Amino acid sequence: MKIWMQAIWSVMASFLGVQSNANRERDFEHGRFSVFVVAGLLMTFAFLISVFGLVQLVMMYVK
Amino acid sequence: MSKALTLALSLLSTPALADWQVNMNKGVTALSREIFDLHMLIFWICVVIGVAVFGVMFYSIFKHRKSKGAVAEHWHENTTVEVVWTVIPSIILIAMAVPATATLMDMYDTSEADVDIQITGYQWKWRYQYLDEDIDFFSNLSTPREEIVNESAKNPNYLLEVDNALVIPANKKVRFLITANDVIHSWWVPHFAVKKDAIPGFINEAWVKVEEPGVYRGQCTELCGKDHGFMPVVVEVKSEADYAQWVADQKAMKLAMAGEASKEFSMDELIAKGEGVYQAACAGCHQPNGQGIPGAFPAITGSAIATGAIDAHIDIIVNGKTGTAMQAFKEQLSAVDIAAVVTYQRNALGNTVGDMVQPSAIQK
Ligand code: HEC
Ligand SMILES: [Cu+2]
Repeated sequence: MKIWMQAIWSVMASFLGVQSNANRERDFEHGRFSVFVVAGLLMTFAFLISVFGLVQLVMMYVK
Repeated sequence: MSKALTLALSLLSTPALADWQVNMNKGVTALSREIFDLHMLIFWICVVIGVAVFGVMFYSIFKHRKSKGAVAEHWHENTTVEVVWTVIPSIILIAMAVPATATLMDMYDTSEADVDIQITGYQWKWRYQYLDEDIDFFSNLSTPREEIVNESAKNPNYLLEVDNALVIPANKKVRFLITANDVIHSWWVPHFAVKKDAIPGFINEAWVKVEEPGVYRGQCTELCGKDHGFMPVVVEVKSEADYAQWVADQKAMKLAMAGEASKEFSMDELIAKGEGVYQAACAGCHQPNGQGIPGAFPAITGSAIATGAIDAHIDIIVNGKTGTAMQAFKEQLSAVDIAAVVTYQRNALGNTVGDMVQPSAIQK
């Protein structure tokens, strides 16, 4: 579970474009590639859904 | 010294300032003012950010200069600072998106228009079709050639004047359906804050509701070939009553033209008329003297088609030649115009074929 939380947290950091060197070293030493792929896809999907939802919300509000 | 002062003051006086207007203009519609206000809001936000960022930067550079004994820090990262300077701009951007979205929604709201006009870009003219009125005409540059080639002084509307302006009613929502016939053009009237690409095979929409009658000018803003700078847009906004009168006049003119087409013309009449048509519709490519531009536009003088069988000559003008810049003129010119320009090309510009064609013989 912890490895998943760390991966998701690191993916969020990459979305923002800011990551600490300590976390980077931890990810490269203990992280698993497959976990990062899944976490990356999940977060991308979540991002798309939230943009879509936001636009829907705005459109509802304006109409 | 006093000379320099006078010069500085005269530069600041109003006429000089008017010449130096660099900002976009407010325009003449509620929407154009909304766009202007949005632009100014974003502009001032950028100014504040610029002043703050450069202020801090220049202050730091000055305050911690080497001559004061400042020593550079060596450190690798500061996650907190990096997050702060990433998140704050993101929040500012999202905040700016709020008014921008509201304005964009208004711009795209082409519903419930009172008048629908299709605008089609051609090389190098605009065609306006009133979808509910059966009015359809082309709008060509009307600046005299002498002004373009510097043989006479240029008038104030140089290259911003046309033979037939687009006419719309004031205080009515007018929807434009914008497309193109050959290459990509772009229909732009700064005072309406409307600038829309005209793309073959696509229809882009825009709308205006102008409060004050007047004449508004614009240009094609998508590089579209040799005469891109010679296809201006002129819009005449008329009061509702004047607009209704104009529509009635257009319809009467159409009837009169249908009558003309069955008339018999003399050769001299056709040649005289044809010269006007040629200079307005053909000379841009085939050149006023009929010599063409080698490699691009063939000469009419001595042309095999213009001096050969008259049917083939009529056909290339009526139907154009697919895949070349020689477009079909059947929509643009009346039967009278086509008969006139054919007769003109055969008996002028150095050609002496000696035959002619009547408008009634033109099959469109
Ligand atoms: C946009 C440029 C353009 C305009 C405007 C234009 N033409 Fe052409 N025209 C051409 C080109 C290009 C050709 C050569 C087509 C081809 O490849 O055969 C041509 C060919 C012709 C020919 C045949 C010449 C020959 O010997 O092959 C005639 C006749 C002609 N045009 C008449 C007209 C008339 C009349 C008008 C005005 C009503 C006109 N053109 C306007 C571009 C133009
Ligand atoms: Cu154009």
